Amino acid sequence: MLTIDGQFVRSTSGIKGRGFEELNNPRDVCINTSNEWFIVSDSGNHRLVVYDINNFQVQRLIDGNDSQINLHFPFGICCDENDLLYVCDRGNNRIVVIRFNDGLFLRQWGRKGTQQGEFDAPDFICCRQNILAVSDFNNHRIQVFTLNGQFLFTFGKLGSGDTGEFRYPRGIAIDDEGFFMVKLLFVFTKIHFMMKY
Amino acid sequence: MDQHVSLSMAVDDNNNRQQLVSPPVIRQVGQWGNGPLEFWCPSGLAITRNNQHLIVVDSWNHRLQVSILIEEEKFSFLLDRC
Repeated sequence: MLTIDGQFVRSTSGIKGRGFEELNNPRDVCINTSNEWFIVSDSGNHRLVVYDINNFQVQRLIDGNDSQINLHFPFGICCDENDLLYVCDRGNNRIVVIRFNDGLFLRQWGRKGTQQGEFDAPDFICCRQNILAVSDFNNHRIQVFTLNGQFLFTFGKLGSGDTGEFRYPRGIAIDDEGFFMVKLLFVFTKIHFMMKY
Repeated sequence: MDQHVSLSMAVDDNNNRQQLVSPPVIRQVGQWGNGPLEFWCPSGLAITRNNQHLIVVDSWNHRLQVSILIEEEKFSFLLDRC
């Protein structure tokens, strides 16, 4: 497979701001299906920024001009095999689905709460084999959905036990064999939590 | 606070139990700062679909950084998010 050889290639300017080429606390990045563009959640500017993968130039913004999008501190973002973007709209406690090609709002689900399909700060998200996993930060759990937003199951609860308990899940990934890997806030010893689905 | 990107081995116990594991780190890249391969709160990452590049969101430096990937062995990335 792959590894980092440590070679630095390039960086964007690093100027904090609201301008077209500027970012304010960017939080996550994903690659579109054709591998031509990457999409950044520009959290502090409440928008998504689309970059050309070949030259790192900004192509366009996906922001609040569509009132249904109207992101508030977007965090995690992922792109499925059909070029649909799934965004953790952390400040609004919902998942927003946006069609990459034209930036069209497609659907959303979630509101603040602790029930199935409700969130308290949805943090990061990944999609794999037609499921979505969302780290529900303040609810100390991972929620798993279909790509349409149908709730499938959840795992994790607040605690420090060995099985099924954790605090403040952040990064989430699913490997080739279906294991979930969760990176927790405040845990710097690189502990993975895994469960086969 | 750690400001680096780590490469960790995925561990598979071939059953459905939930488990906590601390996989061995293969390699890590980065340190605190604002220069090349330095990070201040790295928050997100993506691997390009041709497996050529790693893009890291360097949140509190308000920028993105790109590094080259090369073929080696099975691994997973772990980002020490803040």
